[in-house]
Amino acid sequence: MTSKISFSRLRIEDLKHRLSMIIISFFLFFMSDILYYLTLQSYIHSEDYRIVEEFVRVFASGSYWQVYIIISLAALLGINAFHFLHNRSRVDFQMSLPISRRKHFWMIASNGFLIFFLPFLLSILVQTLITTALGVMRAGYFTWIVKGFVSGLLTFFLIYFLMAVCMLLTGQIYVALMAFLVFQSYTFVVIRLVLETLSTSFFQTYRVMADGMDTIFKMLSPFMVCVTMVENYSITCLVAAILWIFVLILASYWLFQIRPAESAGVAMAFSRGKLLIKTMITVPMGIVVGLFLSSVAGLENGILLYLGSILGGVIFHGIIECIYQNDIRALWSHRKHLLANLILIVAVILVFDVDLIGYDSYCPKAEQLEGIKIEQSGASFTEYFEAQEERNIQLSNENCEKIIDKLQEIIEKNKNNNVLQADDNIYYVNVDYYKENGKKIKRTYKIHEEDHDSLLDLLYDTEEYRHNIYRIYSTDAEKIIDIKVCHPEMVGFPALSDAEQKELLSILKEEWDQMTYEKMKKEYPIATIEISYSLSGSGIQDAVENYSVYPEFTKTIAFMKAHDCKMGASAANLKLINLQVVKYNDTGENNEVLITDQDKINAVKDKLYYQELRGNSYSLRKVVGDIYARDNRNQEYLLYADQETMDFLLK
Amino acid sequence: MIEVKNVEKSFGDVKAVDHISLDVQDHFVFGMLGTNGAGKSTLLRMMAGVLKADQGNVLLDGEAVYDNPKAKGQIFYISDEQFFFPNATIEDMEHFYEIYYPDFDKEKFQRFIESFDLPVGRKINGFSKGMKKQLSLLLGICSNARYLLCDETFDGLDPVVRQSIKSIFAAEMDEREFTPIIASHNLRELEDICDHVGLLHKGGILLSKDLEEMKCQLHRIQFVAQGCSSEEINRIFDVVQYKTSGKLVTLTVRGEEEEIMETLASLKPIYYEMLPLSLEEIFISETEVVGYDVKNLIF
Repeated sequence: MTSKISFSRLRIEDLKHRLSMIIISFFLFFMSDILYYLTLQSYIHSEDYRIVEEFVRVFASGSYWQVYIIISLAALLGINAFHFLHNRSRVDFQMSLPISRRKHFWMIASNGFLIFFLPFLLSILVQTLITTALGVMRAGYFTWIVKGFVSGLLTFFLIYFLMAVCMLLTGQIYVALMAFLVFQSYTFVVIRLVLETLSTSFFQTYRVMADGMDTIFKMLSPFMVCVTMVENYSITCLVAAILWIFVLILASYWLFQIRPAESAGVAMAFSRGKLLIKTMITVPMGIVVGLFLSSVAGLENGILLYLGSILGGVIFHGIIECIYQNDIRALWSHRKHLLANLILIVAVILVFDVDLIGYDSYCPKAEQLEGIKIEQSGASFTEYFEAQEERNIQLSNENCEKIIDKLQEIIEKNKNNNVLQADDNIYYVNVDYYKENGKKIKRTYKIHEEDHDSLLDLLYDTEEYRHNIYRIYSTDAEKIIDIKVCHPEMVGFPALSDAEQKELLSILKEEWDQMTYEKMKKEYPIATIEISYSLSGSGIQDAVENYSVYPEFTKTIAFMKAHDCKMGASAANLKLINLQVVKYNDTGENNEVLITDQDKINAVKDKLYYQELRGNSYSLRKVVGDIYARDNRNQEYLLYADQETMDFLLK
Repeated sequence: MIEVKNVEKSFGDVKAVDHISLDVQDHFVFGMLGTNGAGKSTLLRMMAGVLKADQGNVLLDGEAVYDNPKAKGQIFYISDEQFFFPNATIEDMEHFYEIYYPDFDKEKFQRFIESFDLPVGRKINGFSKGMKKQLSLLLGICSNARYLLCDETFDGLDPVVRQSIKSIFAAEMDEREFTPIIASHNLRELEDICDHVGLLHKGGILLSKDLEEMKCQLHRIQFVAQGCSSEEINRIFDVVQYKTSGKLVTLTVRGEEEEIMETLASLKPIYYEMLPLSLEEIFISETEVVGYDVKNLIF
């Protein structure tokens, strides 16, 4: 009786029968150390010590190839520890022995860990010796090693016990391997794909997955948790790994206690879970098939999606039944289950199709919001090079209500208009609602030009919007590193001292505050002020903004005149000798003509505007074509004109 | 004592064991008889603690066997397909069982291995089926477990080995507490070894009786008696089976031999004789009583 037998004796005896795994484990880590040594040697010979240090750091902290070694080893050990459960004679042999299931479980589980741990630890020691011997030890090395050690251990436990659960739930090895793959990819690949694709297909206002959902899906996949730990050793990742490990250890322990011995050789060890697992696989995979077929046909949300999903459901239901019963003739069995799954598939698609959850009609109340961010797509105001920044607009309650009312009006219109057809009069507006509970809800609204104009009119009326959308108001002045006045007719930029730049900035801020959307649509800018930022504070430029100077900016114009800056919206002052006019047509065939008739050119010069000066009103005027103009000094200018002028030129 | 109390076990829709109750008394060789699919292996596996009964209990000295190391330490189970570690030798298996059965008798085992001439250094995977069964039996005997459960282990053993094992059983039963439980579908194999026999059929138990008692309590007589009607015969004898061939009456009757002979003599038959009954005939008679035609069940 095992009360007289020491646990360590049992473990030693068990280890004797797992020699092959011990050898594999030592071999894999040995090869890892060999590769480490050889690669490090080659980097040292290259004499690029930044690369050497980076390599040492990455390898010590847990590189991708080490993670893959650990994942493979953990999976193998999980199979090796529990594969006896899939063989009837072996089960009879093991389960008849005088040892409790509890002790039996801990014996094989702990031995699996030991087979991994000792070679892993030895590998780390060897790696440290190699690093020291080659003279590339660094101050932060032991911190990196600790990180690599912890993430290696967590990775091992996660994958080992996940494989254990898969082996315990099934009675055949190939089914266990399939279950293992399904566990890894189910949420991160399948569910995420289905939700995202259905949302994109059916929700008019869908932009991106809700904040945090991507992380949640990643954390629900054990494999992604392991890989993410390499890329991003964050608290979220560590907590997810620990939680997973805790749940998996409990699950494997419990399953081992209750697993019936007669399950050996049967696809699923527990009959109760069969229907649930079949549904969990059939429904999403059926929809994946439907999405694939309809995307190939170019009909993303039509009847083909339903039919394709039903076909996919039938196929996957049949496949799973064949696996369960290990018989191809089981393809059509359990037709009631099949019918129920097909109904569920149709129901899921319908939820998106008829927007049962009210996704498109969502519009929060103003009092629920902490802030709101509105961006016009295609109207990139700030060019970012490296810095990224989240900005939202804290509207006063009164202004927030006006905007929300307008958005509500747009939502109602869209609902009644059904799908807005893509044409030149459609604008895309991205709205982020920042709720008081910290949640961020994102939507993209397709709206007609008239609604777009009235929305922006409302927004530009609010000081909060203006002061947020224009960085000169919202950013610290210390982050502004340069201010230039630009005009196509100028060669270079007038040199401005720091004091002059500050003065210009102050004038610009005052005059920009008076701009309305209406004025921006009607007036043509006569110059551009380019402002360079270092948002990171490093002194290196990482963002640039261009502010248009309008004819009513009297103070700015006075400043520019005082500094001999050129200005003027049109090419009226140029001595143009020819115009290459290109008009864009919907058919894709453009009209092109070269005009050298001086009279014709002079007749329209004052209606030819510099494209370079479009700036903030970039999206406000439709570009119907480009005009490449050359002057008598052989300088080329890119201009644009309205429809009437273009038609005149092309006549 | 092993007690099987109203045990039931199903595999999916198939009921393998259907409310079986029986007691296995210590110091007797218990034979479990039945055709393929009768439930013998399932019952044995429940008794060994491998399977958990859906209903009922298997108790050893009052304690449930399932997941009970103390109870299982008194049981050694030999499956119909006994497992040996890949590339293991006899010594490896001996060492393995020594750990799980601390009372394992190493010296006795060595003696038996030599007597049975099993190759010590060779891998067990290279043994014949019969050699593997011999080895399993010897391991089981030398484990010194009180109960040795054998699932069709004797099937396939040559007569010499079978006889040797039987004599070892007898010696063990003399020396210590030892109760072999043997499952087989071959009645003739069990006949000369078992003290108590249980007959299983379709998951249920048809009978469970002491062999000697069965033999003593059931007799076949043949006689010719004038003026003796069948009603009178049925009245004066406890008739299990009644056959006539002309005036010759052949009866299988229950009762003590002496009483039966006295009763027969009182009929003043022209001719009478008591014929020997084989175990097979005893079984057929007993089971026909309960309505089962078991001619095709046993061979």
